[in-house]
Amino acid sequence: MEFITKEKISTSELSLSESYPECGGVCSFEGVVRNHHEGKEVLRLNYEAYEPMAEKVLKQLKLEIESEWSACHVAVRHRYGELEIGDVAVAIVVWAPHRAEAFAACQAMINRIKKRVPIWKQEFYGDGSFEWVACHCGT
Amino acid sequence: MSIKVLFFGGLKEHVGKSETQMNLQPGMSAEQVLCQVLGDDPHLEKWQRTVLYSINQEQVEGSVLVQDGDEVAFMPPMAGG
Repeated sequence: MEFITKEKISTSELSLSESYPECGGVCSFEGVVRNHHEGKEVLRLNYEAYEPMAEKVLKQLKLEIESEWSACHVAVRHRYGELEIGDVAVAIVVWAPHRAEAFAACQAMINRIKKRVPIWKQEFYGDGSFEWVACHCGT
Repeated sequence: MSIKVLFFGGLKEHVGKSETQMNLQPGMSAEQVLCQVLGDDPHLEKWQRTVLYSINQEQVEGSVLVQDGDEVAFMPPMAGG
């Protein structure tokens, strides 16, 4: 799979994989597993993916963003499986001629990933409980 | 018709399985298949309101008809990223 993996991911790995000398703005985003959610201590996450569909949708989103912000290039990877605090769950790099498009396209990409990619996260809390998390599509 | 049905996230836990094979009358929609799976489940209405449907890995409306050999997925709202 090109866009989803159970291995560790990073934007530095993604940004080294490509080079676009015509692009002056490079924007990187990493979604990182944090240790709290709505006041509860989070110990770890489990990301579940509908793997073939997640792969398809991430590719589709990359092509959509590249089509809407012409001259942009997008690299994206989403990790799934068991993740620890501090692990990178999603990595996005956008190359664009200028910074305005790079920032805008990168934000659009993460917002669309949260709404449309068939991946779900289950949080495990310090009190021993766990639950499937609803999407916070605006954050 | 025979279809493969997949469940994810909280719905998978609710029904107690991640996939099943079903033999159904032709002419059923994805939403009707969900209703058949959940049957008398008291949470049916909640799932009907929130579930997203896909057929052969393409997201569709619940009203789309299912065909023989389809892979149908019932998905809670996405929560990745």
